[in-house]
Amino acid sequence: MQNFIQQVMNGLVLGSVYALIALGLTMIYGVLGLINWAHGEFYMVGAFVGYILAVRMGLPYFVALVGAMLIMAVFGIVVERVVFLPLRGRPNMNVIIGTLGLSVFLLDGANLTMGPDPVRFPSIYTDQFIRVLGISFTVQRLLVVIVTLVLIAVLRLFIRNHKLGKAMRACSQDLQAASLMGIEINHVAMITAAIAASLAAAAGTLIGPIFLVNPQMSIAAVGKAFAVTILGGLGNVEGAVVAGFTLGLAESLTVAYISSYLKEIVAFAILITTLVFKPEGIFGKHSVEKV
Amino acid sequence: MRLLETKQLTIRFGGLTAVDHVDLVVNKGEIVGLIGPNGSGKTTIFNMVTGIYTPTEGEILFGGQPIHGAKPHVITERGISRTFQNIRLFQSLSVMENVLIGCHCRMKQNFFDDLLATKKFLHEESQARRTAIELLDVFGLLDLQHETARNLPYGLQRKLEIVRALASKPELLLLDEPAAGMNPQESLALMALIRQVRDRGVTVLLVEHDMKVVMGICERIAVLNYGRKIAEGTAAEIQSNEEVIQAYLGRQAKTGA
Amino acid sequence: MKNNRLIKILVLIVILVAAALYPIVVQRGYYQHLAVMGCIYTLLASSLNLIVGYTGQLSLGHAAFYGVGAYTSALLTLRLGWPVWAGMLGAMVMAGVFGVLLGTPTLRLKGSYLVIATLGFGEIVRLVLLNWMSLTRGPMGLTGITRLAPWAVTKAHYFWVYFPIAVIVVVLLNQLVNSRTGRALKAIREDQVAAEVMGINLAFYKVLAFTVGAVIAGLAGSLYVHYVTFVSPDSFPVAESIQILVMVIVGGMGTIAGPIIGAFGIVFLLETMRALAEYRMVIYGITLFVVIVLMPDGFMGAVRRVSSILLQRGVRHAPAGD
Repeated sequence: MQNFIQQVMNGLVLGSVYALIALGLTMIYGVLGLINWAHGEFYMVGAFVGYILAVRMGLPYFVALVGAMLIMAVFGIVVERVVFLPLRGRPNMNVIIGTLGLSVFLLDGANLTMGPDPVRFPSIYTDQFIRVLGISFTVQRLLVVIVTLVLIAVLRLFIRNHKLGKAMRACSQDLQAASLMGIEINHVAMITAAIAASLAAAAGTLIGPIFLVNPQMSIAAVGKAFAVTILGGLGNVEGAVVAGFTLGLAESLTVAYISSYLKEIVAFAILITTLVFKPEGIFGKHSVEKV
Repeated sequence: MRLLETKQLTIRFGGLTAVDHVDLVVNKGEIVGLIGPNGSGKTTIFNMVTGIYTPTEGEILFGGQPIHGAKPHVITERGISRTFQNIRLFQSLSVMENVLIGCHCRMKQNFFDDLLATKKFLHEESQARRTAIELLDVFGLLDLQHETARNLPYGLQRKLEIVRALASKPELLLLDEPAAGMNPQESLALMALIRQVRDRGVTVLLVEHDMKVVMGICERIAVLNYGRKIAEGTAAEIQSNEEVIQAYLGRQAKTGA
Repeated sequence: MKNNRLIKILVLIVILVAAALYPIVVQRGYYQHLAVMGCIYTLLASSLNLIVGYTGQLSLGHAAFYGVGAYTSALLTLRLGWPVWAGMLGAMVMAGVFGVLLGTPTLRLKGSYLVIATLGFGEIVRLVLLNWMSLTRGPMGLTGITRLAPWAVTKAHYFWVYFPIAVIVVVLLNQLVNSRTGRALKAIREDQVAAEVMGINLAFYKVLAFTVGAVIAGLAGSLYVHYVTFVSPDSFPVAESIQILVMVIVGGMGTIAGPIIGAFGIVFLLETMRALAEYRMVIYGITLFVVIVLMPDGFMGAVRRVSSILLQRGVRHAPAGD
């Protein structure tokens, strides 16, 4: 039982990170209609920014977290202007190659500036422990889950109630119609990229102190993020959250009760199964092509 | 002789009944028209007959054999071919390639014949090319055989779609609004062309909004409204049918035309 | 027509002679190695082109077929003592089976969904190779794999065998895409509904494209493994699938010459970029982006555009898969 609770806690931590990364991926797809193959790198760069602020510059952890999110929001806007905009409306092929170019650039740029070796990213919360229900875990782990839930709640409020959030929803329904209704698509696109990048930064900065930070962390993350995004339904924000926690729990329970070898396969097994049997995701509706 | 027959043909999308218990008969050698206001289910019937949609209820018989629920490519092989309301050519391929793809289901070589350029490949290929050239010639497109489909003017694209459909040697040809976007002269030429197709032994069922075309060439006309068949008969009978006038006038009154 | 054919045959002969002389003229072993890899990548890119460029089915799982071919050939020769040629056949058959395994369940998928599914498939194959220790020795990989033949000692020898193989495969693909089968694939790329209504069995031809592509990629895997005599799962990451796709698109998909130009071009480009040392991949990333924005139809598309401007004719766009 203790083991089970411990694994659920691990699953929630992993799930938080997956949900935050996948949220950005699914939002960019929903609003801009393109798949950002460099999204894993957003997460990785965000983690390094958090690391630089907290460790190299010695800022308090929460200041570093917020700082990383703000810096990455600006980064997201720059990427939208420089990379996404020229690719908007292009065939799928071009979007893939274009954003993969960005991915190679960021990955190897990080290798170049930060070195390929993993770095430690300690925070004061990694040394403090909590004991509940007979298990103990670091405050950092609790923090990951709580901050994630807060961010999701804020995002939800924003999308539901804020004028820009509503504009985002309109754009994800029909970009052209939204534009005709007077929605400034360029603003919405930039805001979407900014939110997506800052959520990825939050994920990186939250998980950094638990694992190590290195450029390669982006590669594993992107596969997981795809699995989550597909399971939740491409473009579905609520789906991404539920699917993120689902994958996190599935992975940690697989490690505990089946085999740690299988951990990495879980995500891809979920991915393929969803695509084959319910490509529109767990919450998606089926649509018929009009002839 | 009955070539195509639908019995109580019905399809529902969610709560909407798009086609509602429609009985329709097309005899061999006829030109039959299917008319009705927008959204009355004409194209949906075409989609069911060609296997793109599977009917919720009812039967479709072709040459006495049931074909409902069969895959589109199987139905084409059986001898039904069609054109589309919004032209669906293979845009970046040449005119010749478009017609040769039409010949696909009448060519007998297999994958390995194609890969290794066997005798059978050469024979089938030259046969298909001959068919294609003959058809393109009859329809006046031969000079354009190397042109890319998307570069053709609109009227010729419609013509090419008909040629492509004929290349599969159909017994029944379904034309979905062939006169759409045509000027009166072009429509006249189209009518001659459709008669020509029929004279080649191909039965024609067409959906059309241009009443001149429908009344001019169709021997029999069926009228749909809200997915139901409300009338059937010759051009003269249809023109004097109360319900048909209602369906059209009522709609016109509503749209304020 | 006849003249055209004669010119094509002459060009082919010139290329073959030049290629045969290449290892004699260029003595440095490293450049000979690049030429061998160029041949292997030509097979990979041309076979992926059949799936992506001709059939319009986006795939990021091609490295899986490459890997399956490599491991099958390695294991058959190493464990069962099969001769190399039999290993090659085995590799092609096994990769073909995987082609059916990928092609069948993903029939309904399109565009981004298909790309992600193929990516997942590729990762599963790699993870299985990595974790099935008893068969593959996992991350340690398999060593001491039989060389192509006892007489195949230098890189030049390999080139003289692999280059003709690449030529034969390309010639066969060229024949295939200009036949009934090839037209069916192109029709599917252009418009699936219209293709189906023209009598084309969508499921059959989509799976066929994946299978033929996989068989050729399997052959490439076998050629690779008997050349480097070592194989590990590290050789077949997603990055490898991406690399092959980049070759297809940058060269010009849906053309026969495009993937060949892409394969040799990128193998040699990455080599000349070695002078940039650690900045190499960073600049490569930027290059990819710029190239795809400026030349959306790849090199062959750009060539066609320039030549059509020179010939004072309207610009024709190369097909863009969806």
